Amino acid sequence: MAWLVRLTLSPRSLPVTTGLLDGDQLHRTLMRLLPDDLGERPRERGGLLYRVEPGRAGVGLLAQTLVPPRLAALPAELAATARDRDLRPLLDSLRPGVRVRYRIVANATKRHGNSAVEAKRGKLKVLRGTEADLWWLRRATEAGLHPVQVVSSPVDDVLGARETRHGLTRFDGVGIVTDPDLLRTAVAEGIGRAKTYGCGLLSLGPAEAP
Amino acid sequence: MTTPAYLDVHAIQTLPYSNVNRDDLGAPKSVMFGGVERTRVSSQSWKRAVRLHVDRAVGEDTVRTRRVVRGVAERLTSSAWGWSRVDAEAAGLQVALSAGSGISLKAEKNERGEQVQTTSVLLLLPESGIDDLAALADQHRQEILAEEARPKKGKDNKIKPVLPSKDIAEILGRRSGTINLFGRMLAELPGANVDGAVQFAHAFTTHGTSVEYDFFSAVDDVEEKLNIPGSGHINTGYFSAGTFYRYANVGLARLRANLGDDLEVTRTLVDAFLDGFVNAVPSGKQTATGAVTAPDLVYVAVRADRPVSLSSAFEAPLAGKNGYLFGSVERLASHAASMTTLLEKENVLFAGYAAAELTVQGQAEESLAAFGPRHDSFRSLIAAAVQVACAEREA
Repeated sequence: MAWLVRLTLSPRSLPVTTGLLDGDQLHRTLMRLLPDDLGERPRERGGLLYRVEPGRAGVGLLAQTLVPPRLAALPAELAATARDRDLRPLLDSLRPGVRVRYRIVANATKRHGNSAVEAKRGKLKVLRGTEADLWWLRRATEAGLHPVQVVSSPVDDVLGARETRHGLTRFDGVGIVTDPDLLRTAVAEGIGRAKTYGCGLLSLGPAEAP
Repeated sequence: MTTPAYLDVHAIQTLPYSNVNRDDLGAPKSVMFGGVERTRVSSQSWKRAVRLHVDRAVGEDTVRTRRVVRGVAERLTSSAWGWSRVDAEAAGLQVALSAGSGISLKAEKNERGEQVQTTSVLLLLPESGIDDLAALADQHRQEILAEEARPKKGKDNKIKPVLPSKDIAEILGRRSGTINLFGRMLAELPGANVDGAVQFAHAFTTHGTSVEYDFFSAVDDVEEKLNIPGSGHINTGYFSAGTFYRYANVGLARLRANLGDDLEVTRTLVDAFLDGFVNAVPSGKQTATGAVTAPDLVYVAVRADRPVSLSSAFEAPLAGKNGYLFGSVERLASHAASMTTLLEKENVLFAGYAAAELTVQGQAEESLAAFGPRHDSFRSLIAAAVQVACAEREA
């Protein structure tokens, strides 16, 4: 069970702190979509993932939940534009060999290993460029999606709690479904880190036959 | 009888999978109209295609250049004049320097990495004008060579202009057919501005198109589309297809004034312009897409009062899955009819259309009445329209 929610907002109403998108504040707003009684780790249990999609007609927000979203609980301005859809037909239609179009904004990272300088050891490193592409290819393959095309584009950093910055990369392209079950799980749970701050939502859609 | 004031030309034209006019990101240009996104082909893009067409039709090339220096120098070194390369370069510089205070030179690298002198403004003049500039320089050969040989020292360290600036300004201010049609903006040279007689609209689709892939809506399309496995190349986001509404008008009085009241030339230009409007297609990405369609319907009206664009016929985007051509023509015809009534029938001095059979098949005869009589070919439509638009004024 999964739902996709689309919200449109004016660029001015997007929370921005010191020039960067405030992912923490956005997270808190979108958490209103989930019920209150989810106990420990409510984001994970409610399956909330989101992605900011700047477009020509304002800023779009795609959010995904694993429980029915409570659109009415959003602030009035957002609720007015909110539409939701059941993702099940799409997820059910995934079969091995099917071509899909995908998009994900991800926090591609790795831990510095023992070869790194002392201060950095065990810390997270944000991957960019080719390193980020390789990260995505590996993670996609593990998730049952074989990318046949990748267009990666840099995205501005997002601010998390306590003003930590998270580096993002957007991956677009076409892939072939290899393992529908793994892929359904990846869509439901998200991929990579910083899921609280607009990362990891994997969107799929039908790709036209070439 | 009233005088023809404006000629309106409307077209419905479908472009298949294409991207003739791109924005800074390589995506097709778009516009929000009636609340939905449409694909747009900018007027400057389509106008350029029409301009080249008209130039060819009237056999008079118009050049748009910063490299007058080089153009003049090349002509002078040719066998007709027989100047040496160095002298010819000096003559080229003289032409630009003498052109007037508003036009200056700057050094730039050309595509082969050579140093070239370019003018500070983009000049637009008939190709023959460059020949005349060369001829003028040849007449003043002595002065040019003397100035070149003069030692440049002290406060006289700059090359002084020696050519008559009045003559150069006259040549740079000359007009070709397309300059008279589309105008020219050249503030640096007094008297060289030409007000265009043509107003050209941005073409837009009569229906919504989405350039961006929409993952939200994709959920709905799933059952329809998600079936066939395959492989290969994509970039669908950067192409688009659609049925466009195109519009332009010619201010007949303005054009005739630009042409010194020469009726014959006015006729030729209006004819060539309409021919270009019908036949020219922007060249963007055409080698990869070959989207060189002809209009499906062209409707021409000559009016005595004002130009009338019918774009609001498509303010509400067309919907449906059986193509947009039929609906577009239906809407255009009904809007044309109501505009004819609203703005009083007497003001329409000519109306006529030509269309592909597929486009008008199944439309009720009376619903197309506002388009006037149907012509067999675009050519006969154009000829009939020009006949009325450029009629002899009654004494």
